[in-house]
Amino acid sequence: MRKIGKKLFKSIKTRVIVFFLLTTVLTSATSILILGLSSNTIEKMDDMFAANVELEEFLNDMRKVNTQLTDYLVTDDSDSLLNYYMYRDAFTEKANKLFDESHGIYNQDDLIYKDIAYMVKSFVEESDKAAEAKGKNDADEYIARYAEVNKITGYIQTWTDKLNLSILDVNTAQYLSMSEDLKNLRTANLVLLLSVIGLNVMVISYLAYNMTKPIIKLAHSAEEMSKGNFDADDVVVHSEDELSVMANAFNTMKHSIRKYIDELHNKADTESMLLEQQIENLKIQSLLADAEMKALQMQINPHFLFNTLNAGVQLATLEGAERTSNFLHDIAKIFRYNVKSLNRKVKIKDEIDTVRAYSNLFQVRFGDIIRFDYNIDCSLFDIDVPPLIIQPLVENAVIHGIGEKESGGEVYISLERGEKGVYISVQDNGVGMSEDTVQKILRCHEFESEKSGHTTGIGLYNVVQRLRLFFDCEDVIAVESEPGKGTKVTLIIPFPKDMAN
Amino acid sequence: MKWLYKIVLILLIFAVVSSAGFILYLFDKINSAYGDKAAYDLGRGFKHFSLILNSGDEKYWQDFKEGVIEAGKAYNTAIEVHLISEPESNAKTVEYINIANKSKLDGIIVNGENTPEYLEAILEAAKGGINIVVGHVESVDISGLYYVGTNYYAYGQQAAKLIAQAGGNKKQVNAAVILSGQQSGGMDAQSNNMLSGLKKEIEGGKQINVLCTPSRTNVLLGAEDLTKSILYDYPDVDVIFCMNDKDTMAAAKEIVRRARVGEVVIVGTDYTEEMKYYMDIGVIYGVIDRNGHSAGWKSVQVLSNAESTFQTDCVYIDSEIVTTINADEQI
Repeated sequence: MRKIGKKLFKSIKTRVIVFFLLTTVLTSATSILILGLSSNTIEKMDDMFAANVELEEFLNDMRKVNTQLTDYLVTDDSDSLLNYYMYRDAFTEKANKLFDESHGIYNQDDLIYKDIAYMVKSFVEESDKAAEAKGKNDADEYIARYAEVNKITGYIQTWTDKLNLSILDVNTAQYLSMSEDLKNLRTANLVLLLSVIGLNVMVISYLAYNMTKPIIKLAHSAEEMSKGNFDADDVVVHSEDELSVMANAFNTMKHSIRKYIDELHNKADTESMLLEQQIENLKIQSLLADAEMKALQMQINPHFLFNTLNAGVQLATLEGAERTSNFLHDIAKIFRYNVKSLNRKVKIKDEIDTVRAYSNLFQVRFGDIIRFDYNIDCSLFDIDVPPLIIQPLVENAVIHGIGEKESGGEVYISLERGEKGVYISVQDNGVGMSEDTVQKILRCHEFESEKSGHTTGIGLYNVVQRLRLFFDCEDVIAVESEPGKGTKVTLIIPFPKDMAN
Repeated sequence: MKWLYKIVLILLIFAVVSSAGFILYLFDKINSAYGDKAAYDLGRGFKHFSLILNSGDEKYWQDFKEGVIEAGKAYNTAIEVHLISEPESNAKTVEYINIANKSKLDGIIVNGENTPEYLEAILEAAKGGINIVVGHVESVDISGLYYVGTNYYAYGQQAAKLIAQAGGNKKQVNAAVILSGQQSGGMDAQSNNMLSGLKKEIEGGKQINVLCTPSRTNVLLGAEDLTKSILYDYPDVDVIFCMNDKDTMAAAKEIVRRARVGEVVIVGTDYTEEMKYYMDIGVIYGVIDRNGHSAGWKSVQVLSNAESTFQTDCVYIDSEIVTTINADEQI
């Protein structure tokens, strides 16, 4: 039985129907109870006065009989006699019904009824005798009988009045007794009605709360999901109805979506990493392309320029202008070195040689205003490096460091072993830079790539980036500078494997 | 909130159940009140008597009525009870006897005043074959007419003895007798019989001097007034004898009011609980209880057996003397 009940209550539909029926039955039963009892009480109240009405009708009937008898005795009219008999029969019939002796249970009123019944018999007997005496014209007899009839009428009247009073007394006592009870009944009815209404409200509230609570939970969870929060707690429904099924399905759906999204995230991360790789590659290619472009911009018919410069060298030799010959030779050397592809590796020696040639050109141009000193560890010459990494530093030192200074300066170039690798330093005693400027130079290649007719066009950023890509190492540069005192830029070349120890 | 919900729910269920129960209880009460008439099953072939009582407020007749009703139940007899109050009581009594006669009752128990109309009505009823018990007429010579009650001659004798005792050591006791005075035309039969018995005792040696025998000639004239007159007119009165409980109490109160306690004592009739106090303070010496209950019971018995075993037309009920010695037993 319990199992069946439990099974039935698993369904929301059944639960709603049961609760609805419960409240309906409760309300209906209360209404029927109150209505039934009220109707019954009203009927009883009506009955209270029925006996008085009945007795009054009985007296009226008796008076009619008496009146007809009187008429007959006075007028000797046969119609009056007929009327008398008619009213007498009707009265007797009613009187017999009124005084029923059959039940055998008597109270004071019943005994009075019984007395009246006997008196009615006497009344009818005497009336009939009076009528008969009238028929026989026996005046003494019918007068005596008529007097007796009136006497009995008076007695019946007295007894009926007594009965009426008794009934009224009883009814009054009953009414007084009942009125207090009726007041209590009214209050009890009100209490019952209000209690049933309250109970219905409670039952409906309970049903509504229990049914809507899981739905509200589901709605909140769905709202969280719509905001992208898939980590909210699962919706827990303790019932075993359709809502529970719905909540379980919802939780499963949430978990599936979260799993799918996680997979998507992982995929996106992988793709992002690949994309970054590609972007790095593109950056390298861009830097190389940029450097090559700039180099190419300077290759204005290089064969013509080299031939022309060689012709200039031969001419200077023939004319005995050795310095001019060396100058042109250095220019040609630098051009030749620069026009080669940047996408190759060179030895440090090549870089140092090119820088020497480059510095010679400056010596020719500026004389003693700019002095170049070298501290070169020749044992490091065979290390591979990207091309054109020292020359831009020298160029910067001359143009931005010393060039800003009227008194000129020195550029100190060194190649030596350091703690982290091979250190290639270009130091000047020029105007120097603030720390902010240093950081900006290192961070932003646009800052360095300003076009100038005095430069090769390859900025410090380009050099650093190429070094990092070449050696796959971030720590490739160190800049020390102080405004008014000069700048030292050190390129850190990792030791090759064979020199690592 | 759950516990609050549960408490409210339990309270509401309790309210529904209790109010529904209370409604049903009230409805049942209303229903039973509606049908609450003193009914009793008398079975078939029962006898039907009418009790017509004048002076119904006297203790004797109250007890008489109770005796009649109880005997009615015991003898399976239906009793109509008609209590008549003072104004026009004689006419009413006569009418009720006539009604009983016309209603063909089996018996009438009546204590009306001995007026000619009353006697005629009784005679008429007796002629109609109705057995009648009267409470006031001792000597009857009509067939079917019976007297059940006090033997007033013997009652007078008892009174004389009690008056003599109440007088204590006095050689002659001065006594006043307040008669019940039912008959407006003069002394009624029972008073007359009582005085005969009293005088017989005096003649027999009792040293009693009857100073006066007043009676109430008007319904408005109470025993207080009579007692006041006696005390005023006969200051040397020792004992006042009263023939019913009302007069006894009225006289006792008047003696207290007049500060004659210890000087005048009462010999009363029909003991009531109220008299105990006056006995204790010495105002009432003793009471002759006429035993109305027995008289009522015996009346029904007489009527019920009238046609068969009953042989005599007078049934005397023994009176009982109540003094401080046995007053508690009476209560």
